[in-house]
Amino acid sequence: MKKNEFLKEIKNLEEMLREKAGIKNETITFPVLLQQIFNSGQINKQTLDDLEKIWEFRNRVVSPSILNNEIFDEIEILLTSLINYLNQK
Amino acid sequence: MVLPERKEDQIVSLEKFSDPNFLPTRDQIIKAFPDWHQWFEFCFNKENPTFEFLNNEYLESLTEYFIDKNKEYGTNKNEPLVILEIGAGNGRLSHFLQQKLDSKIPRQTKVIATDSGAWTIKNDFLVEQLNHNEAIEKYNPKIVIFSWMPYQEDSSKDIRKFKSVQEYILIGETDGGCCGDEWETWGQSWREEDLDKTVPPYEADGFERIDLDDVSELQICRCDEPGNYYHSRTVSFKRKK
Repeated sequence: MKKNEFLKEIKNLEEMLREKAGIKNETITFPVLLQQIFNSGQINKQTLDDLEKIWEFRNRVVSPSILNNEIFDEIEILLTSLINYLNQK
Repeated sequence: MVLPERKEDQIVSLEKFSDPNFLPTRDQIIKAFPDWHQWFEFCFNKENPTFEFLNNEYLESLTEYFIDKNKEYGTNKNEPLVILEIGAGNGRLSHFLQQKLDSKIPRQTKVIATDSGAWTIKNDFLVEQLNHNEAIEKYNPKIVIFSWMPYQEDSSKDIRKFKSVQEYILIGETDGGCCGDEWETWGQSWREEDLDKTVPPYEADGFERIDLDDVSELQICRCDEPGNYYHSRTVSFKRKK
């Protein structure tokens, strides 16, 4: 998966999560967003852990210090499964 | 009758955005990048990456903030307020900030851009090659700015050690985002090893955190996408009296 595709999919994921939390335009940090959705029972602990993992990877990709373009296969698989899971909920 | 297009309605060409002297308005940015692909290509350009997408309205708001600081710290033409930027990269933030401050309160501030040079980012303006400790030691600033601290690195601990520093401003993604360290920088963390920590490091060092929401509303950054701008913020950490 190329970097731009990964980042676009991450944005889709983020928008999905904001929709689930009922947040449109307000600023909310990702950890708070996840906690809200988890507390509302819309995702389980495993999904919460997976989302934290994918977000950490996302931070590495957009960070000033990480300049390479490699998106690992396992991350691509995790991202795809998370999006599929959230689409079904 | 066809009316001539207003200058402010014209879409600025993408080439113009590569001109380091060009400070676009928010509207110009919004209109110039209608789709994700163009946005990504520009922001993630290897030779000239964009982290904070500086715009005129944001710089105006930040300038007003520092004008208030100038009054607060009682600085004047004989002793201008020293604002030191560390990790300044291409130097654009300091350049535009000094320009705007000089237009409103001439000769009352001195904005200095420094960078360690570790990433060999091309300087568009004057940037002195110093690491952050060297820079603070040399200039004894009252205010330090760091825009887009690298992920999982923290320089704020070092900044707070210097007695001259009354305030430091961090720009970029905050808690849980891609700038700094979650706990060491922002005092918030979801890591297992941080869960039992209660006092943020900045607080333990005698600083208080103030999120500059009005200024932050005007920010645009690489993590945003055309139409949705909310990822980066401006946060002040001020030494308590």
